[in-house]
Formats: sequence, C-alpha cells, structure tokens
Amino acid sequence: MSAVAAPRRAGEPRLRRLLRRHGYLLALGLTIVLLAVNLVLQPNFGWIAQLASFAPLAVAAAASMPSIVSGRGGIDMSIGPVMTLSGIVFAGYLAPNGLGGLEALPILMLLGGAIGAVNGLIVIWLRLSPIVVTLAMYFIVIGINLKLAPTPMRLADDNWATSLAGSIGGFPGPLISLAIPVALWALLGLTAFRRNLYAVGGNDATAFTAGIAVSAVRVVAFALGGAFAGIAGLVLVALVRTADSSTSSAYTLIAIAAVALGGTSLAGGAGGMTGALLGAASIFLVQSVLADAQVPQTWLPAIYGAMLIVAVVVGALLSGERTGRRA
Amino acid sequence: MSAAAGSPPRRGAWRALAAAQRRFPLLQLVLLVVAFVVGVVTLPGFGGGLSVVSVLVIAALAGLASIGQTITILVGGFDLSVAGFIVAGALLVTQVSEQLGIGFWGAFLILVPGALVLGGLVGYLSHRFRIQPLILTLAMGSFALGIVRGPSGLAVVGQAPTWLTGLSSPISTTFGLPVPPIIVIWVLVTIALAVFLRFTVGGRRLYLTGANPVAAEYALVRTRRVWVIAFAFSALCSALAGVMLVSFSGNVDPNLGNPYLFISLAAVIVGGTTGGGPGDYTRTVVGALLLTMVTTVLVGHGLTSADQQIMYGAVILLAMAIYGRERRIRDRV
Repeated sequence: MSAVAAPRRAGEPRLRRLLRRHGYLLALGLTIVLLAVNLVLQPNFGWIAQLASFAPLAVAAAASMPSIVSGRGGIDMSIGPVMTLSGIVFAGYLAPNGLGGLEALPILMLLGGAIGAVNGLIVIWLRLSPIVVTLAMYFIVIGINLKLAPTPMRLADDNWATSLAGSIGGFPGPLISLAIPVALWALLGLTAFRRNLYAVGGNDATAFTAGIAVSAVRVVAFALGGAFAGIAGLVLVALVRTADSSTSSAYTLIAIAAVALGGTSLAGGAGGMTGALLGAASIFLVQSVLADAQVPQTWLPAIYGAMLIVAVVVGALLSGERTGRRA
Repeated sequence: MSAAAGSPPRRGAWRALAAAQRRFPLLQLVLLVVAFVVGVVTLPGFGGGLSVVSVLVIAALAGLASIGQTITILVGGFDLSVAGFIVAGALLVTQVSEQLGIGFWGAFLILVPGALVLGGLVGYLSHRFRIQPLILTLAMGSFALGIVRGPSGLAVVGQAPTWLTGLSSPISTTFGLPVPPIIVIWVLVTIALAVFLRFTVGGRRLYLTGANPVAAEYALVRTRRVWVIAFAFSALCSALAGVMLVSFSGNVDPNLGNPYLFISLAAVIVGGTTGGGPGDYTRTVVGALLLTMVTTVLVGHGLTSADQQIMYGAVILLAMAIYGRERRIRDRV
C-alpha cells in the first residue's frame, strides 16, 4: 500500500527490499501464524464473536494511521479518548433522544472529525508539534468524558448498533464496521488527496515546493483520523454496550502499536490501511492466545510493552533505517 | 520565538521585559504570586504556615516527578514512561519487598539498577534505530509496571514503612527546621541540577545534543551516550518519585502514577522549556509551583478532577503557543 516505491539499493538483501516496499508483510505473516495457533488452541473458534471483539481495535488502528502517514511525528494521542467520547455521546445522548438510528453514524463521524480538525488546525496555525497538541487534546477530551459520563452509560439492548457485534441478516456485522473505514480510504485513493498525503509525509518541504497545500492535507489527515475514531467508538459501544469514561485511554497505546507493527513508518510517508488492519489483527490474536493460555491479567502490561518495543525495533530494522546519527 | 510577550516590541522597556522573559520565567513568577494572593484573599486559612507547607510538599512531589521529563525534553526527546516507573518504584519498595521479605533497602537495590537498565535501553534503541522516544517510553513504562506487578498479583496491599512517611508529612521537621525533608531534598536537587546543567561539561553536552545533534557529533559529543544516560536517569528519577509518592500517600494504588504523566509534561512546558532547549530545571520548578498553586486555589473553589484535566490540556497548549513554535514550511524550503 506504500505509495512511494522504495528505490533499489545496491547489495541489499532481497527480503529486506521486499519488506521495505510492502511493510505489512511482517504483520501478514504474524497474523497467519497466530491465527493457526488460535485455531489449534480453540477448535470452536467463533468467527463472528472474534471479529466483533477485533473490530474496535482495528478501526482504532485505522484512525491512528492517517495522521501518522502525514509525517512530522503526527501521532494522534487523542484517538482513544475521542473513541470513548463518541461512545458516550451515542449511548448517553443520541440514543435516548431518538437519534440512535443509522443517522448516529454520520453525527459521530462529524464529532470525531471536528476534534481531529481542531487538532490539525492548531498544529498548522500555532506551528506546534502534533504530539504536544494531541496530548493536550487527550487530556481535554478525557476531562470532557468525565464530565459527560461520571458513571458508565448503558446502551439499550434493542439498539440497532448491537447488531454490528452480531450478524445482520446472516451477514457478520463486524465486517460492516470494518468496511466503512476501508471503503472511505479506498475512495480517497481515487482522489489526489491520498497521493498528496504520502508526499507530505515523506518530505513536507519538497511537497510544498511541488505546489501541494501541505497545511490542508495535514488538517484533513487529522480530521479523517478523528472521524474514524468516531466510528471506532460506536463499534466499541456496540460490543460492550456501555460507555465508560474511565476507559478513555485504553486504546491509544495499543492502536499506535498496531499501526507500527503493520509496517507504517512512524516518521511518515509510508504504510497504510492494510498494514494498520493486519497489525491490529496480530495484536488481537496475541491477546487471544494469552487469554487461552490463561496468562494472569497483571502480566498483560509487561507483554504489551515488550511486544510494542519488539514491533517498532523490528520494523525499524527491516525498513533499513541503519544510520545512528539523528539529523 | 520572540512571541513571548505577545505584541511586537515597540518601546525599550517592553523589549527589555520580553528579553527578560526569554531568559527567566518572569510571567510565571508573577502569576504564581497572583494565584497565592487570590488564594489568601478568597480562601480562609490559605496563608497559614501549615497550608503553605502542604502546597510546597505537593509541588515538591510534582517537581521531583518532572526531573526526568525536563532532561529528556532538553535532549530533544519525551518521556511518557513516568507513570509506569512511578508505580513500579512504589510497588517495589512496598508490596514486593514485603512479599520477598527483602526489606526496603533490598527492594531499593533492585529498583536502582532495574530502572537504569530499562531507561537506558529506551535511550539506546530510540537513538540507534531513530524511533520516536514517545512510543518506546510508553511501551517501556507499561513493561516496567507489568514486570513488577505481574508476579505480585491483582491485590495491591503494600504499606509504606513508617520512617518513609515522615519524609513528606507536612508536620515533620528536618534537623530542627519546620519543613518536611522532601522540601529540603527538592531544594538540594534543584541546586545540584542547576549547577550540573550550567557549569559542567556533561551539562553542556546535554544542551548541545538537544540543540543540534549533527553539530554535536562534529563537536565530538557522543550523542548516543547522552541519550542513553538521559533516559536512564529519567527512568530512575521517576522510580524514585514513586518512592516519594508512597511516602506521601502511605499506600500504593496502581493508578498512583497516572496524574504525574501530565503534571510532569505541564510543569516542564509551562516553565518554558522546549524540545531540544532552551530551558533548565529551575524553570520546571517554577512551572510545578505555579501549577500546584493554581490547582490548589481552584480546588478550594470546587474544581473537579475533570476540570483539572481540561485545564492541564489547555495550559499545555497555551504555554507551547508562547514558547515552542516551529518554523514555517516556507522558511524550511
């Protein structure tokens, strides 16, 4: 999915060149192996139930991806809290007021997109580092969540959204949740935006001299991530049926880990949706294996931390960033 | 970077003030005094000796938890492992030392090399492979917390030794002085860091690495070694801050460290230290004092923890808008 073809370097091993060109291959291999392990451990692997618990992480990873691709360390820390905000608004405010139908989806996407756009606008107007801006937004949105939902909010069991975690007329609901961001990303592939996004992420000064509206591309990338986070919140609340402000930070770290594992360079300009989804799948399947092996919960932070470290280091090794000098 | 005083400098006095602000956190000190006066006027008993000492103890905890953050931001990084290492340190000296029966100092002997190794690893990996320290520190914080918490199980029951709680109890004294030891420790650490950063070769290497890593390499500064030491030191400081927090609260809670992640970032940024410098630890001290004073006054007027989160976020943005702006794209072409 990498838009910029990696140049051939003399004497470079073929495997590394392949991985540099297709960063998602590592995550693809991991996913296949882990899926096989899971199927062996759990002969009655419930596909729909598993996909339903996978969907929130996958959409969250998709939400973290566009801003990271846009470069300059464009990691959006506010994705997790925005997801929770979206869930709270849906379960606690839209559904009780007769807006709990399909119309909630565009409303939540607009909400998330607006927060993302504010992030992007602050980044370009005040010329601040995206990490600082989104971290500030992370605190602000967590505060808003705590105000809106001091206690967890329940979603009515008969709400249509719960079928996103089940099946819709025999068709697995989670696939629909996954299809929305994938389809949007594919549609954007028909426009110049996506190519411009990779150009900006690769080198914004070069993109600027080539006449690309760098600032606009960056704002749209953040807004797109926010809109995806809005969907992710809906998908999560469809699965767990409560929106809890105390879980605001649950998905931030793990979604970024998924994107990194999927071969998207955190420096920007490479990677994409395939990698993000496969990275999320790898992490989800590892969780599933750990649960099968009955690893105690208190060990999980250590395992996630170690996985994330290994993922980014392996990613950096494979992508051939070998120079030690920081320019 | 001259946006410090808002409008473009017109008169001599205004320009002098703006220049002073760049060298010294003048505005922050004025706000600190204003917040204190507002507190004294609107909250009964706020100006009393014990109340002031309590504010200072809380500020000292925030300040000590921000040391590592200051150093890593000065070398051009970030440290989001603060919360993880705080809880890891706090658990080690209470619960784990009880379970293993090794006593406080036995646990302490595990804590120091453990934090140094894990932190140093972050510095090495992030420099060697050019990985955002943000990701690695987040991951390492989670890892440190997990390896301490994993063996000890879900229930968190550790208690601090009684002598430890004396360190930060507002009514305790230090060698006859009417302030708790933690404040004296904070003052000594502040002086030591100010001297280190300003007057030693190590301190200058640190600034050089942050300001321009390529130039630093040409000046024969081993920037990788600087990064390793900075992140190792930062992890150690966070773990020790965890010990101090145990001494303050008496017991351990797995969420003990969470507020200190954003407090440390806010204190550094509000003090006016920016990524890769300029800045120093005394600015962070002023930032920690200002944030603690403002929060205490506002909590006295009914500020909730949700409002507090929003306030910290807004304050970080505001302070960064004053200090930490980047160059325009058209100036980088």
